[in-house]
Amino acid sequence: MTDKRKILITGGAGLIGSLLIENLGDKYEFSSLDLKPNENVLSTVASVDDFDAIAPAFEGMDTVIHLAANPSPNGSWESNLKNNFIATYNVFELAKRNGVKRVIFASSNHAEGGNYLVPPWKHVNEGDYHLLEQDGYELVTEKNQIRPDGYYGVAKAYGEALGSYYNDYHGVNSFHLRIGWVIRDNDPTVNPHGLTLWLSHRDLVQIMDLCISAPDSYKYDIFNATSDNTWKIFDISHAKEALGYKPQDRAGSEYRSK
Amino acid sequence: MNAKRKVLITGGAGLIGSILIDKLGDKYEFSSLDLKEAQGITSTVANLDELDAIQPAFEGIDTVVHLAADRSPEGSWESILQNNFVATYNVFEASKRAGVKRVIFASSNHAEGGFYLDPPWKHINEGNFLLLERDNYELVTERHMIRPDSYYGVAKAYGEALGSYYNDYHGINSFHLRIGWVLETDDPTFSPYALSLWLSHCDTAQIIDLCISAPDLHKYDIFNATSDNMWKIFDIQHAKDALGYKPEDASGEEFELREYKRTT
Repeated sequence: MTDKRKILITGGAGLIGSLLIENLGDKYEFSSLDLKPNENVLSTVASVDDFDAIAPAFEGMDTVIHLAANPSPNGSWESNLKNNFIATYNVFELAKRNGVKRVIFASSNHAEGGNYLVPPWKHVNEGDYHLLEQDGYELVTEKNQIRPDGYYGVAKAYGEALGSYYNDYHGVNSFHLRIGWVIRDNDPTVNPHGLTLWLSHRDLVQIMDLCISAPDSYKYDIFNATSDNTWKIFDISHAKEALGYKPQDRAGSEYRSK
Repeated sequence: MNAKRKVLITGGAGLIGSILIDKLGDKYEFSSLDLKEAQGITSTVANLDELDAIQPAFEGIDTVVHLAADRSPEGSWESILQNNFVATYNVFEASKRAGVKRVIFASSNHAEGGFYLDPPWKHINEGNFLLLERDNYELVTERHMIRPDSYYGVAKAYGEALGSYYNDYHGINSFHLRIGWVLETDDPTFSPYALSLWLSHCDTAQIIDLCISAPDLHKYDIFNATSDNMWKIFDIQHAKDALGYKPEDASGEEFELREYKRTT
């Protein structure tokens, strides 16, 4: 039998990291790098902005899943600079130095969140579905110009650009998932924003697994990543076609409050 | 008569800043923010990585032309982080606090320089023009995905993204010029790369002038900016259509490989 692929998850103690370890833990040999340990796997406890402290965690890794960040879309510049800009450089640079073959970066819909200011996406985001014809409006694809809604979103766009550079010039592959919204209780009916951006737990696990196991010849890409929700803002057909993503969940039109 | 528009140039003492002051100095009231004084205009001498130190230079300014950076495409991460990432945040943030209406950012072809690795652009970059049919190959437009060739290029792509955020959420317009290559000698015949990327002094002044004077309702855009060179990598049609850019210079295809060295 072949050895399991060794995968370091930055932010392995968080929601997405825990879901991956719980659902894919038999298939891959996970370890975690986070501010606190994930009790189920080998854990390095350190801050990702501390290059020297995190370096040992990258040794011998095949793949890195980079989730750690200040996760607030409204985070301050100072916090984003440290936890999202510098930390993401550290991850790519250490991946390079340790011969890691692929980095999977948790990018975000917030790299394109400025689009929510304008119709038709504004209507979707606000639940004004009567103003739209289902499947009859333009979706935001990975080819749209970058339009972030905060320093957080700017940092995600930066991570994609940095990944492109490390792929072209340092041979570190990278996939960038513009994740919609992974919700702790997995219930998107909280509001229309949740309905459109929902990435269910099992669809998250599926699309990450597809990124991990994609062939080495596949070097770099960006994917919108939500479930197959009724009222989309983001087009997910690229992930379906290029990765074979088959989302199993679909949010509807009903939500609890506006 | 109307008062002249007040324009702050970060990096006003550098090559592009000097060209602007020389060619547009009668039209606009320029001031400079740089590590050294710009001759003949009001100058603030400060480092852009210090927000408090540079804030006064932004008071009362209508438009900021942000050129200052570690300008080396080979710049280290540490230098680019300080002089390009942090400095560009400081420029947008200081502009917001001072009520500046528009920022013109010197982005760069290096935000897309990864494309030089692949044909047809590789052939142009290397001067293998025989492998191509003129006007019959794809050009890199502003709609291509970001593909930087360096930390410098990553920082330029970041500046464009940051500008989009400040436009949408803080009402600061911004134009982002993916500048090809402005040469001290204004002579691109020393390499095929320079032939393709050349932005002449005259065309530099024109396209930045168009960005300064574009109507307020034009809020955000990205433009490839080279002269009308024979063997292009970058499509300049968008600047022609949206800004009325009419480049006056065009490089040809003759070159003699020489080292290019700046004196400043």
